[in-house]
Amino acid sequence: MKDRCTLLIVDDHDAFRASAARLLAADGFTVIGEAADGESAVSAARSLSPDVILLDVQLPDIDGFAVADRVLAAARDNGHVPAIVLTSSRDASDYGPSVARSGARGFIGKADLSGAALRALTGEPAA
Amino acid sequence: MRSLRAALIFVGTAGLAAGLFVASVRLTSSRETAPGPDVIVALLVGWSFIGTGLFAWWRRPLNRTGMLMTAVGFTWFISSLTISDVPGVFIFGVALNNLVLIVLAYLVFAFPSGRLDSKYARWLIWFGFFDGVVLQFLGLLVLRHPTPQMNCADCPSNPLALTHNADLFTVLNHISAIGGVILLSAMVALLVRRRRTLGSAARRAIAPVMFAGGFTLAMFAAMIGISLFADESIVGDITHLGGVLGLVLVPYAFLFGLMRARFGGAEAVGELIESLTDADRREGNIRDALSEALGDPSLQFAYWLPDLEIYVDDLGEPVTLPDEGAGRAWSAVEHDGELIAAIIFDATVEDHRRLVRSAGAAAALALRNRRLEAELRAKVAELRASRARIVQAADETRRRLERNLHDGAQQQLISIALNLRLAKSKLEENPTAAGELIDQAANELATATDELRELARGIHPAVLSDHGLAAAVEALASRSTVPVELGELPERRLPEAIESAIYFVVAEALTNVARYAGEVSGARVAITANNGLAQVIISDDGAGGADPRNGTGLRGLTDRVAALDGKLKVFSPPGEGTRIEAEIPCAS
Repeated sequence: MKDRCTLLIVDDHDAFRASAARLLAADGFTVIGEAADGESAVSAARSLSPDVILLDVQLPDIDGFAVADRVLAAARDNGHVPAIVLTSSRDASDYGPSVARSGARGFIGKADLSGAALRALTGEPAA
Repeated sequence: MRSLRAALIFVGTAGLAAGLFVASVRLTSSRETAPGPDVIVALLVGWSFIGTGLFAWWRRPLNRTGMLMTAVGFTWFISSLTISDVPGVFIFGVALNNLVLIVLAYLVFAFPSGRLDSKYARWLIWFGFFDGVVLQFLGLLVLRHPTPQMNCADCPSNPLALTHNADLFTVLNHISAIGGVILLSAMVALLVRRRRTLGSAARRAIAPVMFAGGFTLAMFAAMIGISLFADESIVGDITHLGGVLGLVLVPYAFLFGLMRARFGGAEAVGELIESLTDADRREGNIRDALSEALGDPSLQFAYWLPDLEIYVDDLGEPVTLPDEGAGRAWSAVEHDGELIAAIIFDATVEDHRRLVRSAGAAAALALRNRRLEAELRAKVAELRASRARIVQAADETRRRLERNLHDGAQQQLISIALNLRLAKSKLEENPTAAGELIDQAANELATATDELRELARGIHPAVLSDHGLAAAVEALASRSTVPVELGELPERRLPEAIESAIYFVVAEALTNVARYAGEVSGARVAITANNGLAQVIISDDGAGGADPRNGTGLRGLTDRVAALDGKLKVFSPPGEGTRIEAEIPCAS
């Protein structure tokens, strides 16, 4: 088992990625990559194999649900399945049943993001 | 016009000379059995066509009917040369003997426009030329001595012949004759079909020519068909006589049709005036009355709406007037010098343009009343469309607001929340870092506040509600990136909706100046409110070329001003700057 949980942050807002990376690094995660759109998120997930992906729902090209589907489908082939947590500045209820139907572990509102909230959903132990 | 006159005199003189030449050929021919009557018939047919053709040509120089009729006259004279004893003249007449029927068929199918509109007719004419002229010519190349294959015991020898092969000639001659019968029959059938498609007015003018022409073609078809079975027969002679008689009738049928159309036209206008009175009384349909009077079921009115600068139909839907040559024609209707409407009619009744104009003049007053209804419908349609656009614009604005809030202030507030959470976690172990994070959060909060203020101003500026239009426009001018000179501004408050509309007109205009005006030294804004009318003028000396139909900004403002019974006009010739004027009625 690794000492620290590795994390990929996917969001099209630079300021949010920077703030989230600082906060979660301070909370014991190792941020190994960032992506600003859906396609780069899929390829980063394949090349970096992170333990957790913090995935924004609203991305400029394909949405977070489609990214989750593709990442999980590819991960099942190579045996390393990341824990995907969806995030958005909107409320989860704004997306109807899509969040529950996605293969993600859960949803965190952006303003509520913290290491503890992320761990609660992914089941990763505290660092 | 003078050159046309000279050309027609030349053609007329040539026709006269051709007739005299044919007469001399007939009178001196050893094969002529009845020189007197034959010369009279030859000259009657030829000169009738040429004379009538020249008259039609003079009246309508752009219409080819006159030229075609003249051509029938000349080709008739050519076919008469077959009686000549001079071998060269004789064979010239024989080679082009059938041309008269082809030109006649062309005339009848192209009547009255002078153009062949049907592709079937075009094919038939081309096949006719091949069958009647090309095959005939090929046959003449292989027959040195015409007797007896041409029913011509005393005919001169053929100077065109390259060899003599009577059997080959007979084969070619039979092919040509069978082709001729089929072609002429097909032509007659096509004429019958064409007649059925004509309106009653067109039929009135065209029918005599079609009937005489069709009869002639049918007679010659029968004559050629009979000649295939018997060289000499009484029935063959009768059909030939019938064909010639039909040919004599064609030019007179043309004149008769012309007179009937004119008479019919005068009668139709009279009927129209009477029926219009009835129609008005019964609140019936003027279009139907006019359509009936002119015999054109496709006739259509287009009412001119000067306010909207468009033509509309009875239902208020925009109408585009047809281009010349599109099968439709139109004629303007005026009343006391004012353009009221246009009457769009079938171009095949083009000869009736004068009649349509008379009918339009008779109907002008009634049409002016009808225009009011059409105008009302057009305005209701425009109102409906603008209402839909306003709803659409409001939806668009809401979407833009949501997007701006989501991408702007909301992201900054989230970032602040995360930074504060991080600062809190560092408060005890690293207070300096925590302090820096709190400073950063404070800066982001200030930026977010600015963005929210800007957004709120876009929705509705507080200065406008609190301090009125003058202060709000001054604020707009001070924030504009191009220098703005302020002219007169209203000192008193105007109704809220009017202040708001004018404010957004100025805001959009100044945004457009900054965005699109190119090299611009500045803009000028002036607002007046006098005599119950609020007026705003925004002008600049930029690139010009703005079109309110492109882009939603100016279109939306036009709707907004129109919703207050006002008008927005944009003058923006390329290279000469832009001037936007809005006028809104307001109680003084």
